[in-house]
Amino acid sequence: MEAGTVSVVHPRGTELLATARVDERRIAWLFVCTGIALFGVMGLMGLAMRLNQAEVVTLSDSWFYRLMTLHGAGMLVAVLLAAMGALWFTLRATVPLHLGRMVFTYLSILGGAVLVLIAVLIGGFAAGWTFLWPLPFDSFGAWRPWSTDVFLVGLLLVGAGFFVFCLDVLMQTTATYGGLQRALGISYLRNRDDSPPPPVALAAMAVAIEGLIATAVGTTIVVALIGRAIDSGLEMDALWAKNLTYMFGHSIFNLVIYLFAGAVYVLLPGYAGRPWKTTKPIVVAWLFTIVFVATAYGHHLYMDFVQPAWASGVASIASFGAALPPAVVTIFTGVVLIWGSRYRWTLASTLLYLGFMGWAIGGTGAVIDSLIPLNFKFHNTLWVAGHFHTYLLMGVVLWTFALFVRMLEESAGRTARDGVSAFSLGALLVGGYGLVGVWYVSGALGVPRRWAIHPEGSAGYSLVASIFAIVFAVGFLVLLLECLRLARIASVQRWERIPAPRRSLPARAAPEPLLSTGYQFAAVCAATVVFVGSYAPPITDAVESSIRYHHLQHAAMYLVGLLVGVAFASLPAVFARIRSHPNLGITLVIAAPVVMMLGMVPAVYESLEPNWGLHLLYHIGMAALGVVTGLAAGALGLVAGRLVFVLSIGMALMYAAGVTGG
Amino acid sequence: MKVAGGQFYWTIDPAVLPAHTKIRFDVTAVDVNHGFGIYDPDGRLIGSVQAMPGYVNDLRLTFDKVGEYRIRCLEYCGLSHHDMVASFRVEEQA
Repeated sequence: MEAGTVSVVHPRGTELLATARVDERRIAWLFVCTGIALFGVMGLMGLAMRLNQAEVVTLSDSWFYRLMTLHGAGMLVAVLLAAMGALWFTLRATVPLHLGRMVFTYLSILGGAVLVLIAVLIGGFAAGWTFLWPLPFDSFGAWRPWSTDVFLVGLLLVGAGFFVFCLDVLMQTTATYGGLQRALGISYLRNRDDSPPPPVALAAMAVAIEGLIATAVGTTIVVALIGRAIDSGLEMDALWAKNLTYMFGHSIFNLVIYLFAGAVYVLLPGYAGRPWKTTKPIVVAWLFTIVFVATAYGHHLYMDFVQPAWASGVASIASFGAALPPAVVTIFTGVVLIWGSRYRWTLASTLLYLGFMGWAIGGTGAVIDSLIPLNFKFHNTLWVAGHFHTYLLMGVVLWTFALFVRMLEESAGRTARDGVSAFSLGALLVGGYGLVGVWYVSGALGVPRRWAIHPEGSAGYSLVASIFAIVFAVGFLVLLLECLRLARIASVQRWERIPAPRRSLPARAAPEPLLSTGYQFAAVCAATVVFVGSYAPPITDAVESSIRYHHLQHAAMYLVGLLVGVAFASLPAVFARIRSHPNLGITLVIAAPVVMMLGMVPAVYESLEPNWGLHLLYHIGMAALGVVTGLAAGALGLVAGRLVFVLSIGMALMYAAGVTGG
Repeated sequence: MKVAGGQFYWTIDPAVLPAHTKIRFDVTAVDVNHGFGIYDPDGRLIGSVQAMPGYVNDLRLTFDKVGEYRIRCLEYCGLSHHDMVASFRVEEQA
């Protein structure tokens, strides 16, 4: 690595590196800088917790668990923002992602983060970022009731931001590559497409589809909890709540890695001077992820023996099926790309390379933990903290630093200094792997996670870990100072003067309605009749005997409206009007299901039931919300619209099946 | 053995168990989720199961080592989560 005004990439890498326009750079700066700033603050909180466990400083129990809650939620936001910024930066070279929607995503997530801060710092909320029912409402007087409400609304905003991001990626990528099968590489697998999407688009598609599913599930449990805040009589099944919570939480953290893996497909070739081409193993690996990632979360419930055995079996297979193929294929092909390429080793490119190591080691730790016999000994020990900190801290965070440094090196027209880079990298590696190594060792010995004060005799592990954390922090600080030096050299005008690249984008596919054949219309009509059938007298009688049946009938009314809405949206005259309002469609497909679920809070509908007219209006209202959702889904086009349609059905049924009370 | 977790205590009945006999733990929770983690007399975690409100999880274990076994909560349950410890004894049968 030589400092100076030399090329910061491989001699043949300039045309391979994503040449970003001003918008892409601004978004990347915004998301990555916010992510790094949050990471720094949340990291200090993590160090404070470790020092408390080491008995070096003394935090009250309240403050320890508040910091623990904030650290988890804050780090989620930090790595999610950085990873979304990275994918947007790299994907937009080939897919025209929507700038306004990305700005909304940022503001929504930031707004959510502010509410979480208020809930924790002022309201004392300390139920953990996983907010496992019924703990948020059973604090034993430790936090103020309003803080739970504020925390949940904050999470809802974070989810809304991510949902919009995923919808935009899905809509634009499928339009760019000519439909779902082409965008997923399935046409290429079947030898019907000679020009498959680049690997970044495959990763983006996997993230978008799974992100929408995970966020819909997360929204369902969060809205159910908000319902509990509205109505203290509302109850929910603890196993149901746990499934939804972990499906959302596990998937989101998984997707953060995949977001960045997509960006690495674009960033690495610039340093290797070789293109990272789409191959059939890469396509298959990402299809595996799409199929399996939604059920991999089940390993969090291995120790809930009331969970059906088949579900744990599926989770075990899915944990391997979702994690291994993309990791193995990406890391293997990445190393092959670098091998013999005269790889241009700079601070940025070294961080990119080291991120593979964190992904591989952290992924291995996760796979070990997902083996049922080992999970019996490792469940909720510090081993768990070890594996997810490895792939986040030594994978995603190092990749975030890599993108940050890469943009600065390009802007400054020179690389970071050799000696400073070596020192920083050394401290990051020694400190980072020392920190996570202590978690693995102490976890294997059974030290529990999420304990403010560790069992007698185990404070020494925390002391050693704290020292390693400080070493990592020194490396981080040195890296930031070097970045500051590069930023001084670069001027804003310099990188904004970089000409917009000429791009030859594939012809975009025209939007299609959700239903286009007579059979599809007939199927929707048949399903509508079935749901209307839920008002037949025997079923209506059964509804009076069970709150779940009652909620299912409300859900059926919403589904009737949804089907009618989808059918209307697909009529040529209607579709021609709504297709030009995708942003309104996005807004309504988020808002209408949330209102529908809040409408199923017992306190909302119980007061209407004695009055025949109001009761009828309530049911018409549920159907109207369905119509709105269906019409709005129609405005999103074929792929995104159909997925949203299915997710809306899922949300209504999940909510009805899990929420009781009243 | 009947086990119930509550904020922030364990109720365990009986408190003494025979060695070399398969024991079935019926584990539940009276308020929020807890984690029933069993540590052997040498301090090693030998197994765990979740204690969940509204459900009973059955855990079956055979203890070959006599002595005092410690219970630690392995699911975050509130501000005194780390204080939620208990113990039972395993003894040779007469």
